[in-house]
Amino acid sequence: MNEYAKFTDAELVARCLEEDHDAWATLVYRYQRLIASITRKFRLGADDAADVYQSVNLALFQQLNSLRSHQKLSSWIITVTVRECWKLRERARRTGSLDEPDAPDPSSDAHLLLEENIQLLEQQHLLRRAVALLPDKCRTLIEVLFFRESPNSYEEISRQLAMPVASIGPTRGRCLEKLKKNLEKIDFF
Amino acid sequence: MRCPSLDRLTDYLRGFGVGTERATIQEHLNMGCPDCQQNQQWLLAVKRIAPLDDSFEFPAAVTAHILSWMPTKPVRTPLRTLLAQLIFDSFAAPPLAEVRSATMADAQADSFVARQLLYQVDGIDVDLRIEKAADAASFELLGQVLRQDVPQADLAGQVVHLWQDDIPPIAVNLDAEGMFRIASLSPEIYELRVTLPDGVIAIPEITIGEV
Repeated sequence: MNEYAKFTDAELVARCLEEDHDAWATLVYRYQRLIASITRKFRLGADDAADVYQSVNLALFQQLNSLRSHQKLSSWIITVTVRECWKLRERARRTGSLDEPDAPDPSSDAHLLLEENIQLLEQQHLLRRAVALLPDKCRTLIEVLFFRESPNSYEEISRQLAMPVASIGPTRGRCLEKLKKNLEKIDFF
Repeated sequence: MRCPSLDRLTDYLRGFGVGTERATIQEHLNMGCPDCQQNQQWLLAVKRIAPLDDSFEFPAAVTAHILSWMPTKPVRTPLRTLLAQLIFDSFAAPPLAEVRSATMADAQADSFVARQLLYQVDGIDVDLRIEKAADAASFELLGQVLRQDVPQADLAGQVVHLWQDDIPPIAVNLDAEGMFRIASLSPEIYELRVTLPDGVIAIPEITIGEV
């Protein structure tokens, strides 16, 4: 894990303003899944989602200076991504060029859906950040535990992670402690 | 009982564990232990939101395009050193009719005439003038860096170093006209270096006064 992963958004933005390429890369990678989640809510196809991804990052790139003092970058990203999704869908509706024209039109309830889920999106973003800060082994263990279809026994986890059964419990305990600390640091709770 | 470990609490919240152990943890939680309540709260939040994560990574080529907007800083290479050539020395100029040329001896004489030197390299001129100070014991070095490829004002702030073996280097900055002045110099042989963004101009030997 590079040192930039530990930086706050404000620190990364400040470094981007000094033309620090690594800071920009960290910022882009940090928020790509949040943007992806929102494009999913709008049921965009792959090409349209990628267009939104680029548009949001272009806005971020162009407004770095004004975002220097922004308290919560995740909220700004969500707002801009939703706006870009709406713009794209409106444009596509007019031209009949949706990536997935047969997909159900979610525009009538997309706004409501997002209003209800903004907190969830932000929590998911924070959780991903906290997990990303874990050492590799812990990250895998936590992902197996919470993100994937969970194995029912230590034997299955042992097989998946090639770890002795006896060490899974203590290792997982230590990983959960680390996850808790990371979540505390980024104000998850 | 003591607080259950995060590992055991996680298993409990996921519905695993034998009956007696689950009952013991349940009893502990019912007592309202604040630490365990906090742990229970964030573990349940993680357990609830993690499986709902439908995010994905965008194609690497798209991300690479976005990353290219912020240029990667070039690796700083050592500055090249340009050795300036002497083009003109007023002490070496042939005497004009009826006009006595200044000589090295003049430097010691009361009638010292300022010495004018012109160096050139890569289209950059370094014009130097050595004058005897008012106290008659020391000298002043006045200089101007002139280049045609950049506005003269861009030279402002660039550093000029004057080196001499026995003393620490003297550093001054060019002004907006590319000029600098170094006073109180004793008669010595000095090395002058002008550090510009694209290289260092070196003048290895400047004789000030009679050495």
